[in-house]
Amino acid sequence: MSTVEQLDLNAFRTGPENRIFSGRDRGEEVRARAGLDKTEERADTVQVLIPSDTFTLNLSFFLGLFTASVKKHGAAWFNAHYQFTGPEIQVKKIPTYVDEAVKESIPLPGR
Amino acid sequence: MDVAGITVNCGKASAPATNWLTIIVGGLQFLLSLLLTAYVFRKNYKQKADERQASWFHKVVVDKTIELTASYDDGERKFLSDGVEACKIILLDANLLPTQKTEALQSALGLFQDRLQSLRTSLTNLALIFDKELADKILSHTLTLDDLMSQWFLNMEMGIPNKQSPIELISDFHRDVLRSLRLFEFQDLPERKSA
Repeated sequence: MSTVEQLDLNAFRTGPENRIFSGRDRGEEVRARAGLDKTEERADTVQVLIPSDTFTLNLSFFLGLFTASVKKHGAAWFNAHYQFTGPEIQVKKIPTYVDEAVKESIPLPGR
Repeated sequence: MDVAGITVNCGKASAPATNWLTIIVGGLQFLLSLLLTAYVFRKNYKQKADERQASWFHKVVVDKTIELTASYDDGERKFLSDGVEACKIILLDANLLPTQKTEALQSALGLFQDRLQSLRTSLTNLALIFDKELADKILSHTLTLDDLMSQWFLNMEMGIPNKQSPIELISDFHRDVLRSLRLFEFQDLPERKSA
């Protein structure tokens, strides 16, 4: 039986008025607070719930929150493992964001 | 020559020693000149390589980046001023629902983000040819611009005054990208070479 767990971003707003999910640091902080490393190992599927009143979910936040997962498991695993639900205008950005996370994960010589 | 029982060496016996000394000094001079030549050759080679690298960096990264950001800057001034004006009209439209107004602003922001994504890909790909850290810095500037512009549009929707105009945000971004290139070439690279 497959296990499904949820990551409700509503629980990680900086304030009730805050409708923007932005900032790499903020994303990393949410990852740590949500214990995402353990959640994604434990669950077959992680459902990410984007609040309906979200004005925008930005790439900076996504990279902070999910780059570690893409780096560790790859894009195919990420796409199969994570499901995003919420406003369509936000959800449709996710594939581009995953591509950016993949680019961040490619080890390149520094100099 | 024997003078009062003392043998005086008139120089004949010291001649071989002088010859040896001359050979050793000559040999040392030759070795030193050889080392100096090798040092100068190596230094010139390194300098030429640095010059070639700098020339390539300018041709492939700096010139293209300046061209792309300048073109983006010009285009975005037009797109953003048109988009913002349209949003102002929408926000004042009493016939529209608040959700419709929000969607209009999100749509304007989305168009801005799409154009920025295209620039981000081009700029980071160019920087990656030379340096991952430089690419990360440029990526970071695009992310900052994205976040600041998002907050700008949300403030507009919520009726909160913005301290900077969208054009000023773009100008700050443009300046930050160019500053990163300058620091990379004139500070980071020399520091790495001397380390």
